[in-house]
Amino acid sequence: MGVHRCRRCAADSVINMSQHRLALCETHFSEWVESMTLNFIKKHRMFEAGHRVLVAVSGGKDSLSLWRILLKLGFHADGLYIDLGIDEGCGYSSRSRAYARKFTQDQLFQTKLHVVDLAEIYGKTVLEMAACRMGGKKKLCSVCGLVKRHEMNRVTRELGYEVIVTGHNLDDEAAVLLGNVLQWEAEYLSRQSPVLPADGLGLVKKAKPLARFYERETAAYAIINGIDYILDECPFSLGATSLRLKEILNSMENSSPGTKLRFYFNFLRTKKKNLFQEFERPMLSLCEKCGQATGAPGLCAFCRLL
Amino acid sequence: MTIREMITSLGLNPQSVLAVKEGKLISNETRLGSQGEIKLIPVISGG
Repeated sequence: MGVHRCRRCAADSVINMSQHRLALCETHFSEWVESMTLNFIKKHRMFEAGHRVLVAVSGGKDSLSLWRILLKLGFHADGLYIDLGIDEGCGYSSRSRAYARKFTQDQLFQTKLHVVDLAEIYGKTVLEMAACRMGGKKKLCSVCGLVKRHEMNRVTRELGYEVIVTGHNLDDEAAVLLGNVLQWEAEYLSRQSPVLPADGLGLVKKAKPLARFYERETAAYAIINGIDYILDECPFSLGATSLRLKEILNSMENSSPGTKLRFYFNFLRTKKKNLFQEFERPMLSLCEKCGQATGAPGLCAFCRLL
Repeated sequence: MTIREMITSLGLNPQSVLAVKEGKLISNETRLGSQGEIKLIPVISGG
């Protein structure tokens, strides 16, 4: 058996997606990704034509692919890059920022990139913010997540975007799901979703339009469409649990195509049948300094880092 | 030998890489020729 023919034309396929029993050529694969993304956006009521969408970009394949797909679909989509200042000895933040910038120069679509430089605005890089908290590398990743969420929310609100979207793919979601199942983190499981609505206290709507695609598919989309992206991982992600979980899932996927798809989508279907109880959200108040929602009175966790 | 067989013989999971030849994505079912260069691009990101 040689290379499969594209399901939609006579050309040689460039990707064979066993989980869908679908092999496609370059052109039809791109069209398939764009069409499936639009279906997913509509199914989960993420946003509509005419809405201003902010895309959180890291300079990596998923977020840049997402940005391109949304522009191709005709959405008003601008980018947000948060420069965490991870540069010592590796230039990671500088290089990933350059890839995000390059994307706007390469595209034929009208778009803009907002840049939040932590050191410029707050006088500290994420490493310096994490240094004042004990706990080593694990705490650094936790601080990084907190910082990104805070800034994503702040910028989305201040600039009046209807929603912020991230490039999380199905592999990301399945790894998080597996991690939460292994620990039976019921509260996190009840909240895991491709879309999180806005709330009355200023938390903006967040969505993951690529959550139905395997990581291999978002990478293929980037390569086929000539999107230049950073290949390097964050230097602090070495040994991250999420990578180990992805390895496990991919091993299962290899011997049983569709495992990841079924795991994630059956979870979403089962959630709708109230498998998990609704957890009462903690009372939120507004941070005294930045005005963003926080679980405890006084300063929010982000402002306490400054 | 196909690209898939080559990937597996290197101890890699076909789910975690894509094969590119001269800048173009190629299917894992492609048979390796006697000449040319294939690049394997890792697709898994994390952390």
